[in-house]
Amino acid sequence: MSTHASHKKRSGLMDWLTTVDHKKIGILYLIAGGFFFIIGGLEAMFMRIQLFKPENDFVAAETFNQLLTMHGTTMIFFAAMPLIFAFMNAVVPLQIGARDVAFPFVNSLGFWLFFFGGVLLNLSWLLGGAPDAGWTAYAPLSTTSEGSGVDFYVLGLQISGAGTLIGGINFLVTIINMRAPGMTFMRMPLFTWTAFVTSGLILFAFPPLTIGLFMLMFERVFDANFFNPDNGGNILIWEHIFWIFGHPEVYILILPSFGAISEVVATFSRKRLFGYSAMVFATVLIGFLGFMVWVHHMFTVGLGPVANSIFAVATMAIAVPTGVKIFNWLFTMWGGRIVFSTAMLWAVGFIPTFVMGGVTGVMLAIPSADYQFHDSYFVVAHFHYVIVGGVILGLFAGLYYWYPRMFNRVLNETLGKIHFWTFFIGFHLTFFPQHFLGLMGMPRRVFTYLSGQDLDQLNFISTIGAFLMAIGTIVLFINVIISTSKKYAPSSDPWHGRTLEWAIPYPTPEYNFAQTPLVRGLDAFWIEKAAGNKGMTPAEPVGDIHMPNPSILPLIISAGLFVAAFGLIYDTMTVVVIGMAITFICMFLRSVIDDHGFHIHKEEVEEDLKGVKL
Amino acid sequence: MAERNNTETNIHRNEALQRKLAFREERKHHNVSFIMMILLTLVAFYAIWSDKVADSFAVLFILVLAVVQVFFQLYIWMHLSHKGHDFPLWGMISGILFAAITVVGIAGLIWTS
Repeated sequence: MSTHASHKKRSGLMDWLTTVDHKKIGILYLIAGGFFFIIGGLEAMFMRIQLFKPENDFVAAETFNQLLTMHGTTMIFFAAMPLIFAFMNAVVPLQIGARDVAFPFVNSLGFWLFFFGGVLLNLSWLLGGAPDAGWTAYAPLSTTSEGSGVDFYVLGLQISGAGTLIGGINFLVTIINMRAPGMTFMRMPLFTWTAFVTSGLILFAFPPLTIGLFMLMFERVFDANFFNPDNGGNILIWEHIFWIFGHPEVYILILPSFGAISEVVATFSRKRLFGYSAMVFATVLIGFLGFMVWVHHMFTVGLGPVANSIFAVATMAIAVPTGVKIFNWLFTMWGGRIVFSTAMLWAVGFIPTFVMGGVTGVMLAIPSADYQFHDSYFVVAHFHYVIVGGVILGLFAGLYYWYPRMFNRVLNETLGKIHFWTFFIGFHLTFFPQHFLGLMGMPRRVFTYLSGQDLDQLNFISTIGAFLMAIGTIVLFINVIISTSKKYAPSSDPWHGRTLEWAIPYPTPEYNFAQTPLVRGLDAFWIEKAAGNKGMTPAEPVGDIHMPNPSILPLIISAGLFVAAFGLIYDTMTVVVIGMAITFICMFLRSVIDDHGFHIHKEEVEEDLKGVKL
Repeated sequence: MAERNNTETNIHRNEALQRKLAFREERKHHNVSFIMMILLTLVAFYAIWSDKVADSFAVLFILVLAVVQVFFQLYIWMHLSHKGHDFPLWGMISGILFAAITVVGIAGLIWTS
């Protein structure tokens, strides 16, 4: 028997603050990401209200700049990223038949770093003004921006970026090393595949961001001259570094959404995914090409026709693997017994919407045309079609699909469909007119426009659409609140799922799988069901299960960096030293204290197995 | 029965011999690469120290030597050629690739135009 039988049970708040369980960290990511999604959404609403009519004075120009910067930064880094990590945490270990991620402690550290980074950035609203140089923070606008807004941007992103990076590494190691017996790479569900490629992209794309932010910090805090042409610097260095990170970042966001869509489409068409190996190949290829195209954000900088042409061709090449994916989803549905549940509605709505974003993407990839589109509302329309119409629609599909697995309850389907239709119609109403606003010459990031330029009507329609999207989101929250009052869902497999996560009983045990399952092929659970088996065939006898101990250290490590960031922003070195000391002492403690975790004994597992109803 | 035992012993002996040979082979590789690495380092120092080698050539030359050294290091000393190193290899190759694209891209687009 085990020598480490100290099975402490924490409860209430402390349980959540110290948890290293991937399922709970997934829920934390979901809640925090949802919170920042609301904040980013409110910022968007304020901007749309300001642009409701010409020469409106709802917010001042300076406030508008802060709103647009914070909306972009919040939505990309603190809403979309954590929501993706929420599903990766909640689903990937279950899909590959693992009991947890490879490094549970680091997983928790990743969450708390992201969380404190997000809180730091948003505190800038209360502490003398938010950053106002756009989410891209181009030099010299960002290096000369007054106040400490951009400092909050730099340090908030630096802290949360570290969290994302270690999260990505964690998932790479998990997916390579912790697959159940028989789960070969070409048997992994597509969501796991996309999580894997996304983690690889995070590994290679976030270090450039870290370096860029360090340079920007040195420029602002210590008067460095990386981006200052007067002293031999070059403002283009920032643009290159930012987009070398920034372009892979958009694929980091979209790939897991593709994965979620693939799972939903296959499940609700009652068919295996069409062209699985082509889907895997397309995913890897998109990830690879994502690093070769960053200059298409900089066509108008004046890098010359040769550079522009090379990057234009590389950009257009990405349309090929993306098209492969679109057709594979369509062929999966073709001839399937389609069930239009809410999750499937989101997935079906996603396909034409994302295609529209892709088409404008190819239009923007033509350098000569880009000179016309650049910095206009056409670009705003394009990236909202791919990020809202792609990433967010995919995440909503994933939310309705995996909600029963994460919370042991189903969301109400009627409310879900109201959410879908209001959000979907609102989305197109908001962003479709923006294509034409851009072609008519409305520049992006302006706080107002004059009347008599034919911009009034389309802007009015756009604002109406934004309100519809807000109503849809409120319906979602009502749905979530209602679901908390419900008892457990009737079945642990409400959608007739195909993959391993649906083979686990309700509520999901702490150790996920009492016995590691034996995987016999793609769509492992479906194969067993088709063979008439009740559940998965175990690959091991029932035994003691080793579990990691919960720890408060990740929270304190992150809080230390949070404190140090304030020291840097307000130029007080003592605070920096105190913050860093907190962090390093916690890291030291983690290194010297042996933590062997604990065991859940065989008897307890057997007890659990007796009560199991599938 | 006795015959079978005999075969097993033979197989056993054969395996041991194989392992011994592989070990010797590896030690030879280690020795050769150790001497080569020292020589390459000396050549690199000489290229910079000597006036007979032009600076522009010397810079490129020692970069090439550095790449060779990296391969010695990774393959001979860090056993990258052995089994089970697929993922580290893939990780390193893609990391080097993306880093190279970044460096070439920035250097090419900023400092040559």
